[in-house]
Amino acid sequence: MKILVFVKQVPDTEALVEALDDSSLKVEEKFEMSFFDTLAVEEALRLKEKHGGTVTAVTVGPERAGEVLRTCLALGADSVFRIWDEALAPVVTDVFTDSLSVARVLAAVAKHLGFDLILCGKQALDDDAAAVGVMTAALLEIPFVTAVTSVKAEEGSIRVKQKRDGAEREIKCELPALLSAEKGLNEPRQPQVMKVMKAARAKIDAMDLAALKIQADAIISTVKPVSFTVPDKARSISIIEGEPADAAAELVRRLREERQAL
Amino acid sequence: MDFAYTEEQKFFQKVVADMVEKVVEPKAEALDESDDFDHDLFREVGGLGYYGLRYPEDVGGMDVDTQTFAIFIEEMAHGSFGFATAAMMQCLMGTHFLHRFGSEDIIERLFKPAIRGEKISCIAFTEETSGSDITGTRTIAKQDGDEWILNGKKMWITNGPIADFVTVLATTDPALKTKGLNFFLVEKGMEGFTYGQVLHKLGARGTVTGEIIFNDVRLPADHLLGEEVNKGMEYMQEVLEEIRLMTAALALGLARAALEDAREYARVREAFGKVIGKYQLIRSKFGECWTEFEAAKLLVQKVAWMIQNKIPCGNEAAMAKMFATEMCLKAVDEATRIYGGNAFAQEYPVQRYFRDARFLLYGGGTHEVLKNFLGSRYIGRL
Ligand SMILES: Cc1cc2nc3c(=O)[nH]c(=O)nc-3n(C[C@H](O)[C@H](O)[C@H](O)COP(=O)(O)OP(=O)(O)OC[C@H]3O[C@@H](n4cnc5c(N)ncnc54)[C@H](O)[C@@H]3O)c2cc1C
Repeated sequence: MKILVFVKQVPDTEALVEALDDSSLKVEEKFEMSFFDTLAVEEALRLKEKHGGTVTAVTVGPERAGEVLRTCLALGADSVFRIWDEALAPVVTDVFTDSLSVARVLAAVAKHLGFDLILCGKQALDDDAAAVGVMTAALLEIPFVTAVTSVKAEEGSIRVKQKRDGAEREIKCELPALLSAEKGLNEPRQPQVMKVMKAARAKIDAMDLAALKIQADAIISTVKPVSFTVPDKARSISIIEGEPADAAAELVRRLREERQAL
Repeated sequence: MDFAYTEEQKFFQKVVADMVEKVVEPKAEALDESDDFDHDLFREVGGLGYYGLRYPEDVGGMDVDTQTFAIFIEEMAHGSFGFATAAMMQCLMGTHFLHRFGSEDIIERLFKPAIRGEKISCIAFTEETSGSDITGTRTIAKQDGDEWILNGKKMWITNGPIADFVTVLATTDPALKTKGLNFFLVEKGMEGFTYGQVLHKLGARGTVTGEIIFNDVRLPADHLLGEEVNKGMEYMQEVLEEIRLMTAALALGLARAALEDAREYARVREAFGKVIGKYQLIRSKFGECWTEFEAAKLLVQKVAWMIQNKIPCGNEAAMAKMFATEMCLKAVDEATRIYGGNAFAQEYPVQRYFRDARFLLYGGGTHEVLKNFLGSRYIGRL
């Protein structure tokens, strides 16, 4: 089985994000692979180990994004591709991704490389857009199943489960297809040092739009961030006094009425 | 001159930090509380290949440079100091002499499984009546035909009571002082090899540390780890710089953990209407500790570079160990001040860092001994 995995480099969950002014953010130089993508990579490797085939990881991003591909190699991916082009700079920044542009690029990569199955995370941890996977599937005109929690390959098809709040749905889907990974799908492995050292020395090549036969002017974002507002720095802590039952009732009231959290 | 990590070292650091955060750190508190050895964790980290970092590929190692090895030790100490001491033992002191002098049988049967995390190793210098002064070694080895007979007791042996094999420092004759020392390999299950008291430690918990006893233990000829008899002191010198360097790397990791936690606390804890990170007296603590951390790190990098390039660095390695340790002791102390009373609660990790740091004073040479050594080197022969 020829498996492609789409991975995205996102700011580390502990990276400091500062607002320089109301229309630009500065992100601390700390990046990692988006959490749901790590599940997609792991699942691809498990499918390969069980059924044979190859795993190829792809990312769209500047040079620093090559690091997530190195991680994929360390984990056991057979090959990796980083797609970058100056024309992509305005639509893929540290703090904003135009999903449709990225989906166009990834669909072209998928056609270029060929595949039986594509895996990606159900959403990126930075913008939570949950859009690139479904858009790419639409552009490729292949089935898409979101937020899968188990994957079983069969002859020419795939059986997946989606588990949510204790309920479970099983779906059968013809290949080729694109699946997005949900928490609980697997427990990603830690890489073997031997592979880490090899991956550390690997050259990560970049492909540009011309190599994918995409016209630069096809990458035009119609979606642009206009302003950013950062959350209140120190949310005050309040302690609700009184009998436990009364305090709990008051907590529920505040969550419901003041925070609209329930 | 280039102070930056190579791209490979940067990537390695990131991978290790991630592994430590996910695999090691979640167990740090339990290791400290129980002071038990976590066999599963030990095997898991070994299974990934980390214990073979400094050994060549032909024996199953990774053949990484000294700086890369130091990065591993630093990151481990950042996650769990106690476990880091066990990992360092396995990577370095516990296996070094087997690799250097072991017969093919020893390499296959003990060394290779050890660097895969399947066997536990340890090293035994210290005795009840001798620590810094290894010429006080009373564990005695007598030759008997082709074999050796070992008698004595060792104290303070990290993982001694649970080890599958021990590298033991013993003398053929106490009167020969440093010229009578040798390393011997003793295996679990050998007749006459037992363990005694297990110590309850202040810090660096999560290893089984205690006494091991040799009572007429018979050793085959290839269990003398050395090409010649009575050359143990020389063999020890070959690896001493690296042991001191890695002890300094432990200090870097622990100091960083303490400073990062303290920084987090200083960012959110309020007093007199402001977060405490806004007070100059709190900032000055970070100003000093951060500076000293960077200085210690530079010493570590320099010594790693010297060892890698086979430049003698006995002095610099002693300095790195001592300076990094003192820096770490200050960092954990300041962290406990920044945390206020919460530093005194078992519920926060700062008290653990504070206790762990004390170990650094003894492992790799006490500072009284190191200062004496460096002072005499500097002044020269009188
Ligand atoms: C957690 C832990 C784990 C350990 N694990 C191991 C292990 O795995 N294997 C092992 O062999 N050992 C181990 N040790 C022992 C450690 O190596 C010794 O504690 C260390 O070598 C110091 O020896 P000592 O404790 O006997 O102190 P001593 O040497 O008795 O020193 C006592 C005091 O006298 C001072 N002193 C000694 N000589 C001089 C001098 N010439 N001039 C001035 N002052 C001097 C010292 O600095 C110290 O202040 C461990 C110790 C600890 C705490």
